[in-house]
Amino acid sequence: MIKHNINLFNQSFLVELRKLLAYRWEFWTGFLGQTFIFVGISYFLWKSIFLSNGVTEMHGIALTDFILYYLTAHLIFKTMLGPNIGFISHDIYYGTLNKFIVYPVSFQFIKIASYLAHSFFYYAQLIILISLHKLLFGNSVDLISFSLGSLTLITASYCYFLISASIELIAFWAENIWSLAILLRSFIHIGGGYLIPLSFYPEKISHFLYYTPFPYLIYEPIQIFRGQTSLEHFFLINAILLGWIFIAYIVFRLVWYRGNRQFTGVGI
Amino acid sequence: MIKVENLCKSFKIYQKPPGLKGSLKALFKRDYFYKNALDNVSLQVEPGEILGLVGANGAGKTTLVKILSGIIYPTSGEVSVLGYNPWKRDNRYRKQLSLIMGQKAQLWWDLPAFDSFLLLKEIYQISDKNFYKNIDYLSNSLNISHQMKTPVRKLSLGERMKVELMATLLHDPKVIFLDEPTIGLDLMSQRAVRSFLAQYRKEKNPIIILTSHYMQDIEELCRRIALIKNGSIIYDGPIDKIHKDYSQFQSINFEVLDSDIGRIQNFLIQKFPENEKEFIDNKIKLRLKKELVGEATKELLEHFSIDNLSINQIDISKVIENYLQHDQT
Ligand SMILES: Nc1ncnc2c1ncn2[C@@H]1O[C@H](COP(=O)(O)OP(=O)(O)OP(=O)(O)O)[C@@H](O)[C@H]1O
Ligand SMILES: [Mg+2]
Repeated sequence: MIKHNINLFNQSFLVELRKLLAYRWEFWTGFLGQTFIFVGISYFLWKSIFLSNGVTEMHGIALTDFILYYLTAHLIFKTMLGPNIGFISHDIYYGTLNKFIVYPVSFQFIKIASYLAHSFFYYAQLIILISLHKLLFGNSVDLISFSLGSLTLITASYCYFLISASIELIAFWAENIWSLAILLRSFIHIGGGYLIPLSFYPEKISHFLYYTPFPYLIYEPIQIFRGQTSLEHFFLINAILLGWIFIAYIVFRLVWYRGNRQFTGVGI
Repeated sequence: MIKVENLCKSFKIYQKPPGLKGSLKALFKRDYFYKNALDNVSLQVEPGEILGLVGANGAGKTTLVKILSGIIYPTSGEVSVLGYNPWKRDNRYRKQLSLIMGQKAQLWWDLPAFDSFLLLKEIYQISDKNFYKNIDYLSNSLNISHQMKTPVRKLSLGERMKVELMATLLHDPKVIFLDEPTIGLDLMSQRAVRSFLAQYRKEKNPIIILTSHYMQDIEELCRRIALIKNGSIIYDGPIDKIHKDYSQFQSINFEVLDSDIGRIQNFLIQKFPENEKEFIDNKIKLRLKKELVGEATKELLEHFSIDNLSINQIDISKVIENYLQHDQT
């Protein structure tokens, strides 16, 4: 039984990875283009802010730290995001869900395997770029932080998978889920500290944000990668993530069950 | 065995009035109505039997197949397939089930068929031995072994259908639903798929429900058919019987001179007001009871200059078309 699941996982994972690698462009543009542009622009913005204020450190972050901050932010975000918007809703709208319903395996299982193929793809980029950063700057991520960060990234990714999958499932009712999915990403950008580190936020706002899952998805993993936290903090963050996973899982199951009750399998 | 009792399915269909005003209104309140896609359907298919499901577009065939394969829930009624309730989606049932929807690709588009097969092998837990045996058997009988490594999106429609068929049969299913497996194929590919299915059935003996708009598929593969009209079964029985009811008719086909077209139309309408006739240009078709054919031919030859005369049995697709049109139930 377990062996069967492992084989099934491997095959679904491989199928998706082969599909991804069929589009080599995606790899190189995602790898070089997006990351460098994002990190570059953010860095120079902060540089001008630092210069005009005449400081060398703000809220505990030095200017050069920002390079690593945005590098990890972007790659963590990408790894966690997995496939593009539509990775489930597309199946619902175009009827490919039919085949998954007919297969004698869990839909969620196959979807996670293919989701992880995407994550793996970006995680490989994360390893390469962080190594590069270490090579260039020396003062970078150490092995322990990297391992703890990677573990946190796994929990965060599963949590994000469940949240985004639940939103994708709204396709059972809504004619379009694109804007909802974009909204979720914006919350992560702003509430997760992807665009601006949460330590820059007013106390009240960041306090409030910690009642949502977003800081645990991006900001905290970044901090763990950057070696800014203790081991206890690492455990705390992962425990909270597990709590969110529990909630998201229940929501996912509920939406899946309700949606299937009134799925019409698309015409023809 | 498949057992369907008093099955009903209605779809809720939302309507949007046309125009901007309608769109705005729909933001707050959507009008809807219910469409009965299946209306009190009962039928039974025995082990090893193949049932042809025939009906016009929108009759409810695909809806029935979707319910039988557990994709959608019925509004009411009972269904049992191999002793399972399809929409409970028991893995033991789904392992014995296979579904082909002709208009829908199931294989992964960007990958060679063989890569998809490897995934299906794990999904259905097919042993190495059976897997390679079935791949060999299926790819040879479908004559497609040379295309296993080509990405599916680069295959022709006929080739794609063949690999789709392979994909759905790899796990030796006990129940197979084929929803228009030959749609869009050229005559040769249609024939290839058909003869493959006939051979497959003889060797493996699964239960099959087949829908097709090509009567030749039905005629060659099914001994029994169910005619479905507006969601109800209006005939369920041997295909021969329905044919026999109509085999007392024959059709006379002939051509007249262009100058006679108007005259012959009037003549036929007066002389045979009840009978079905078809005028295409100067080619004419007249359907008559067998015993009247001789007399009618004689009369036609007397009054008109007739060319290319032939007398034919009415073929099955015509018979079924008539049945679906004229039955009032
Ligand atoms: N997803 C759906 N939502 C709403 N109505 C639907 C849906 N699917 C089918 N219907 C309606 O149910 C009726 C039966 O459709 P179905 O697809 O079963 O027909 P069919 O016999 O398979 O036709 P065809 O030969 O064209 O494939 C049609 O009137 C159709 O409009
Ligand atoms: Mg159909």
